[in-house]
Amino acid sequence: MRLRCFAVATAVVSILTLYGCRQGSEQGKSITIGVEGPYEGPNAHIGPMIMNSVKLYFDQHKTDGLTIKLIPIDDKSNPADAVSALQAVAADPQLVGLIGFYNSSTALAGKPILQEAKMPSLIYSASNPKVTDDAPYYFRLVPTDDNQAIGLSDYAKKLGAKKAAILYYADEYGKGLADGIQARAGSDGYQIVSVQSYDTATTDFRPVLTVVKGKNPDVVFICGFVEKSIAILNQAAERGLKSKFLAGDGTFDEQQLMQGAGKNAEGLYVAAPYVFDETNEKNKSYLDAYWTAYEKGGSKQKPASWTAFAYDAAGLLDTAFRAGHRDRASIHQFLKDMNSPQKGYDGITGLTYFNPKGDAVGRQFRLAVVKNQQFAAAN
Amino acid sequence: MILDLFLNGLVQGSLLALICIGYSLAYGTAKVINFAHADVMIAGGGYLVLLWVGGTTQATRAPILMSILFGTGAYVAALTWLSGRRLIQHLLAVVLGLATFAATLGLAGRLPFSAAALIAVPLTAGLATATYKGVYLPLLRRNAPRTSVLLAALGVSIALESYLLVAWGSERRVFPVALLPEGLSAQAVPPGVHGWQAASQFGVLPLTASHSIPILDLLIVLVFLVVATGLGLFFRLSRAADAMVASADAPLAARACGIPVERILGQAFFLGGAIASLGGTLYVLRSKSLDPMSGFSPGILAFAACVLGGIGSLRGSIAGALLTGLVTSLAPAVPLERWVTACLPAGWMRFSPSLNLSDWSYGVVYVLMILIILFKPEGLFER
Repeated sequence: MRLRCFAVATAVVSILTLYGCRQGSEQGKSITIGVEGPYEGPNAHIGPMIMNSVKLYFDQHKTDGLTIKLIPIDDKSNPADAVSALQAVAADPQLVGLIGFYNSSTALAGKPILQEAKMPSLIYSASNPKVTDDAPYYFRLVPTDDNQAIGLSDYAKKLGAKKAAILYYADEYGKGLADGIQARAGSDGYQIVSVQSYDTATTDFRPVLTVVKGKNPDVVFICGFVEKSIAILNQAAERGLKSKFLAGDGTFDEQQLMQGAGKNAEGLYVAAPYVFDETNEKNKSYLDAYWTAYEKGGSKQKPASWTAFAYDAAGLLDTAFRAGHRDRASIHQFLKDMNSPQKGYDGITGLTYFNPKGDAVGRQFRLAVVKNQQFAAAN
Repeated sequence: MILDLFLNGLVQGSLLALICIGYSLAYGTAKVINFAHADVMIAGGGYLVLLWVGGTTQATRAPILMSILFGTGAYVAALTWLSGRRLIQHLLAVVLGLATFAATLGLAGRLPFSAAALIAVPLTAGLATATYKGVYLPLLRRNAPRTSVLLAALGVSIALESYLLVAWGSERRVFPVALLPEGLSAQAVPPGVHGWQAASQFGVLPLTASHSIPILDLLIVLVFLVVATGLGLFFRLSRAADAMVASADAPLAARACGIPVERILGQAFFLGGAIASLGGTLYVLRSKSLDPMSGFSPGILAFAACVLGGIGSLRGSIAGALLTGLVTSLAPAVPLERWVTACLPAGWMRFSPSLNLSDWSYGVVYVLMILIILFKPEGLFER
């Protein structure tokens, strides 16, 4: 009996050892990338879209003998959740890079953890300028809010605004954008007559909108995310507020906006980090591939700017892998060296290379306007 | 502007009052601080949406889990009402529960708004009764300490939220505007459209050139007035209400007189649930969106309003709700910044925090609440 036990134990141990060897031999060929974003919470539709886009890239560009594993990291659009989710994976040696951050607030909350873990992180949406301050491991593909604030403010001037009101979501993104617009207002020749904030708990914007209406502004800036922007637009229509609305890129979400606000969104101007150009071959093939791959899967989300940047982020990491950089330190060095147009990466959103702070050079916000329930380029 | 804010405050207050009444009924009769009340309301809102729009992104999970929840609710609630033989009682209740389950599954996404609302009201009330029968009643029967009942209420609240979270996913559901009943979804009125046409097509009743009232807001105030008057008459005139008051004030004596105290308390929960469901329906229409956690904020605000007015007293909770609605609505118009600037020496303003009261969100209401209960701990109205 004892002998049999021993035999069984030996067999089990040897199988485990062999399995371990197999795992070990594969280790060199398998690489993990964290795909960070909100998979739950108010922006739950974003995370899966990002994952789809990154997965699409690696399905299209397979490297022989290299397995790329994508793991979702869910921040629920909440800084505290971002911290705990990132802490849980930061120590994993297989994880060599991160594609992340829809929100600026989560990017800022995750900053210390990812810098300490020396994790090269490519940012596809968080646009507050402070995100890349003192963050050598953050590389941002999108234009920043100071640029966005200037664009929005200059457009208000173009619309002939003399008086403006600001409604901002009380987080780093909303506040940062609101501050930027306020700083620019003077030189654009209009006066800010009201600045009001709101938060997650706010569902009734009517009191604030009534106060704004009383000040009779020509334009109203909305610095926040699409869900609340929808409520603002609907309730503004209800209150008979006739000002023109200009919104930050948090509201740049065509599908949600049209579904929720319908006709009340007509004439809204929205800053867009990127607008697809169907005449551009790369854009068109990306859009076609995305639709073919994911429309059937039940996810009828139209690709958006952030999915395009996530796709290019995947491309950047892939370029590093192909050049033989397969650990955090050398990937970081590779990205850091991408500091001139010659060394840049030519993706679907254009040529990407980084300034010493880690922001992509030459990125501009564009302005879209809602016309006949669709975004069109504003001129 | 002040007039608009005042009207909006009244509407907001009316909505809160519809929630407050349920808190007050539960506390006034069974002495339970029913934290689950607002979650029952949101569950009812979610149920209405299920029947009306369908499960949206959770096309299979939401209908199944919601049918289970409301089917179970109907079964447990039925046990509270039915009398007679045990076996027959259970059989009837099972039939009712299964019927609810099947009807919900079959009708999901197929009903017009009004029909969905009509079905949702009694079933939400049933769910409220089920929380009483299933959780609070066993505790009350054993003379459990108040803190245990409070903890149970908190537990029911969180468990219900989690259940809804699993059923619906955590995404906030913004309703497609196209699905909202015409006239109840306000739109910008184009110039040249007046009176009845504006009301029926754009959901807004223009009063003057610059003032208008959304039809939905009128409806909310109307529903509130009908409910408040109805309750007033009920408590003044009906014998059932006498039994309720007796069961609340002297349960032992009431039982000795042959009043089925437990069933009567169940009725109080049913009534509170039904009114909350009306409130939930209007809340859903007014915010045009819903998520499983959206009960928390109005729920805690309604509870604060109740305490402010005097929990347990209907008049008090209604007054508290209206006051809270007015305060939240008027706060952004208070020119605090201008006043403080006028009082402070020049240059000092840069040390001051934000003086815009809307930045302080609900903080204003709670500070006011603390001030009032410091001076009148029992609330504005005693029962």
